[in-house]
Amino acid sequence: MALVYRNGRPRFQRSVRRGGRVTTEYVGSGDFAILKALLDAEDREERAEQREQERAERDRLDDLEHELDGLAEQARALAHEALTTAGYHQHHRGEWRKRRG
Amino acid sequence: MAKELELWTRARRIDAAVVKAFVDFAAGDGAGKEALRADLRADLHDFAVGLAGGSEPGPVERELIETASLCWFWLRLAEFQVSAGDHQGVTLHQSEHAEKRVERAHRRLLATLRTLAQVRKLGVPTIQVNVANQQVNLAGTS
Repeated sequence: MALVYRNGRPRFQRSVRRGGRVTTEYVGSGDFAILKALLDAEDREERAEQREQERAERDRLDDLEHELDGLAEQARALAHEALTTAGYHQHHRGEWRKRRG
Repeated sequence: MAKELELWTRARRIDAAVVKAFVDFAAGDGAGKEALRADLRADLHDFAVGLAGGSEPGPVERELIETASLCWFWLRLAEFQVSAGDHQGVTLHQSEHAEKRVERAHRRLLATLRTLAQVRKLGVPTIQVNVANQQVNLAGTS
């Protein structure tokens, strides 16, 4: 979408792809073109803002998930060590068994 | 005993700030969400109490219970996001991303619960010692 001036008159047009080629399509001219360009810019701004909000929320989700991974890993490692200290060992990464002797 | 003491000092309560970060994210940071945040905290607490099953867990078990509670909370949040996304017209990519998050949350919760079950089944004994005149329960050798 673009506002261009032809012979001093505003013209609003958009680029469309047809049959693998990009061509220009006329949308409107005069006051309508200016209004359409303003609305279009506002829409783009809103979409960019929304994308930014979504990205920020995704980043926050990722951070929290990363933190939770760390906590879960730490708790399991602690349990592993407590069991080892209590005389158990993990048989082939599966069942926990009491050490003999 | 030195090893048990070291384990005890490493086993710690999940920081209240961490829990707050999770609850705030789920409820939203804004004003007017206090009731929802309180409800979510109560849910988390109830889940932990349910897992403890009326007993006073040792430090290792307690850390596993608190972690499992947070994992459960995260799973609920991830599931909610998938169902909310179904009604909000999210893209296929976003939907796949959200579903993978649910799978990871599920695996994480199960792994933590499995470890908790092992610790309970094998009955990692609890030793009581007094540190600075305060009774402390330790997971330790029998």
